[in-house]
Amino acid sequence: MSFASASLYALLVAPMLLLALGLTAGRGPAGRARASRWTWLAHALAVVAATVLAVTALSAVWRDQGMNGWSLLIHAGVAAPLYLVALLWTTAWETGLSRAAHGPAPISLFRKLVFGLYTTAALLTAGTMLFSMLPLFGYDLLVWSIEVHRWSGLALLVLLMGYLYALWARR
Amino acid sequence: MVGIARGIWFGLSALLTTTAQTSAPDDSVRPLRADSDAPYVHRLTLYDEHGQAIDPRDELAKPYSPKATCGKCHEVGTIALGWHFNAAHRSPKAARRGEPWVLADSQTGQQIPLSYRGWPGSFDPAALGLSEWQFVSRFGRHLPGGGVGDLDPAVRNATREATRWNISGSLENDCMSCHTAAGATYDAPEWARQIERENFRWAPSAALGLALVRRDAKRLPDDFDPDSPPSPDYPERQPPQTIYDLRRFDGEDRVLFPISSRVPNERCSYCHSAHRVGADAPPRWQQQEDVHLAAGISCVDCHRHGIDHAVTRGYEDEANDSCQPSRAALSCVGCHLGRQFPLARLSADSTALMLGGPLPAPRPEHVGIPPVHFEKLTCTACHSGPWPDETTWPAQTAMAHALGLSSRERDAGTLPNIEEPVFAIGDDGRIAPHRALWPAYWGITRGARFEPLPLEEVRAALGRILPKPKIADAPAVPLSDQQITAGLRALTARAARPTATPGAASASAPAPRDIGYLRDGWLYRLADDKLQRAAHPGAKPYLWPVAHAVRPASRSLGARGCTDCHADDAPILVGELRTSTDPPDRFAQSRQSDLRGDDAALQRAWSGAFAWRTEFKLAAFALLGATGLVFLRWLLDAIAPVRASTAQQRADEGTRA
Repeated sequence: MSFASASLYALLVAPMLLLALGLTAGRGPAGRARASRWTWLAHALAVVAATVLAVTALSAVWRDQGMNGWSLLIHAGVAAPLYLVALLWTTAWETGLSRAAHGPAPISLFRKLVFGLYTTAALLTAGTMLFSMLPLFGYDLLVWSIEVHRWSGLALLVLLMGYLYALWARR
Repeated sequence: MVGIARGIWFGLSALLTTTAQTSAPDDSVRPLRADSDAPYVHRLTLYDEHGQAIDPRDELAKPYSPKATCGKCHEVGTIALGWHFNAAHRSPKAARRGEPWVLADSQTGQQIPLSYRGWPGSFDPAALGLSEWQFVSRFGRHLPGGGVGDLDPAVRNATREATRWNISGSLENDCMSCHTAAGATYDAPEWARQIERENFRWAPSAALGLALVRRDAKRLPDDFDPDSPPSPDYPERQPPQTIYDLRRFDGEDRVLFPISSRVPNERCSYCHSAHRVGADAPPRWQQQEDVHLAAGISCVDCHRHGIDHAVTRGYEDEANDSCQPSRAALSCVGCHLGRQFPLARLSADSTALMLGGPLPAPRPEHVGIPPVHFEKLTCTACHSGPWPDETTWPAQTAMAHALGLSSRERDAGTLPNIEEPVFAIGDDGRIAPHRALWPAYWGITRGARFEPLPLEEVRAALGRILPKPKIADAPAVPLSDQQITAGLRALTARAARPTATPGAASASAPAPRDIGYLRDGWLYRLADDKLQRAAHPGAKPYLWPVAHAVRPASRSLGARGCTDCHADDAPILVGELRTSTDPPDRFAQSRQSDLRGDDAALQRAWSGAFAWRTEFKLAAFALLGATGLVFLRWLLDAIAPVRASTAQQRADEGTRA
């Protein structure tokens, strides 16, 4: 399956799956930790930046074109650094929660699993491009790293939705 | 499918037009073949154009005919379809634009790109009133013969210069103009001299040094009969005489031809040389040499062909354009990267192509260069032509400036004005270095097009107004506004002059607004008898790609880093395009990026981004590293209960034990 098709299916199916899960499972009891406004801002930044990254990347993919021009500049020069800031922020928040989570209301395994995979995908997605900016990889490795970048980026998007659902579901 | 259709069209049209136009001999006789890698010694009897063996001692001996002599063994009709000869067929289009012939006239301030191939931006010589005869007379100096020089007799006899063709004969495809072995002499300037004297059929004998040619066909009157015997009563009516060098003939009147199937580089260079000129130009010995030639690779190692002489041009899409997959191996990518195939199991031929074809070359790593560069740029963008500078440079080419022929007058100002390197978007949508010729001509608006007027018409109207240069190759002086105004008035008056048919003039006479002079992207016209200038969409430069000289990786664009191109002052962005009429503020599109239609704000943004690239990388790596460390902490915490549980389990087991 081509990346263009896979990304289309993934971005159609994942939200519907989570919606169905949300409707059937409902929302759990409020957790012990209540997020601050700054934490909300961090998550909002992550969502906005990831959306911009997805739009700039997938609009080119679906048009069967390579990224270039303004879309590449916004993707790599604006949205990606903002997303990295948001990622650090949310990871720190989750880690803080996790360290304090040995109390009566531990974080759910689903949320842990989704957050772990999501952050792994995010690190892989960012890492492949950042290391590509160093004079280390030749043409073949660069092409390979772009492949890894786009597939892990797609996984990141799906897992981000899952993580947001896990935050909402509180279980 | 499009490629296949194009290939079929190419084949059919080539076949049909060849049959219709050229004087193609019968190729039905099976050719003699040696089929060995060892060179075949060509000790040949010479034949004249009628197929008669030549007696070199005969005072009336005719010149040798390459078509008759070489055609004894080789399929010269098939060869006549080759790229070097088939332009005049018009139909077989060379897919990628190439160098045009340039009709340059310094008196009338014109430089017009010409091509029979229909390349966009070029003009068919016939549209300018230039007959095949005139074309050969003007450009035959750098034609290998054949094509327009060797028309089918029926076509030739229908031209207005039929009598001259009859006297001068055909300018046959001269095999030796390319296939003379290295070290042997082929006197190309002598070929040019014979053409100047209109001794077309004598040119191959003279250029190869087989014979001296006395007298000029040019001096013979139109009613001269070339088949009539010379008469002592009319000494002025003597055709050119062929005096063979008997030392070149053996006891059986055969000649040892110094032939090589591998054409030496020097023979290619005669027509395909180009170099930078001007006060700033480095001396010839300091100019860039092609890295492949320096490494001992010859032109024909890459520019290969079969008996059809469809020489591989070496661009990436050629395999599709020609429907010959094997040509994919003879491009930059083909040799250096190999060709990718979607098939799981490949034939031996496909595997060979995948591995670099017949000349597998070192595979470039392109370390640290994002792959988007290979989507947006051709290989030549970074590796070919002269290094870009603040301005483009004037260049001269053999075809345009008659390089190879000695001249005391030719200098940097000699028309046509060609500039290089111009980083424009090529036919494949990628940026590539080009040479640029800004068309300059007196013309007329027809619909959306502005088309040149016939040269003779322009000369007749402007000949007395514009000063005639004393020397043909004298540096061109751009026409002043006053001269352009006077020229437009003269052309308008001439167009409005009544013709023999009453009423015809008023019906067809162009309005003053229709007649104009186009130069450097501007169209000059008269409005209320005043000169006005406006940019014209049809006034784009004619561009053709520069493939050589190829620079090695150490001298390619980007060798010093990203800012070779991604900087505010990068020549490929803000380099000025010069023209015949500096200063450049007279110029419609004055920068490299203007010509490509680049988004200026985007370019500034990219350049600005690259100014902070190091800091950007450091910050990004710091963020990534910090996130990684925090995530590691999270991971350890996440698995802490599991680890604690396992440790407790072990402790319990230990207690029980």
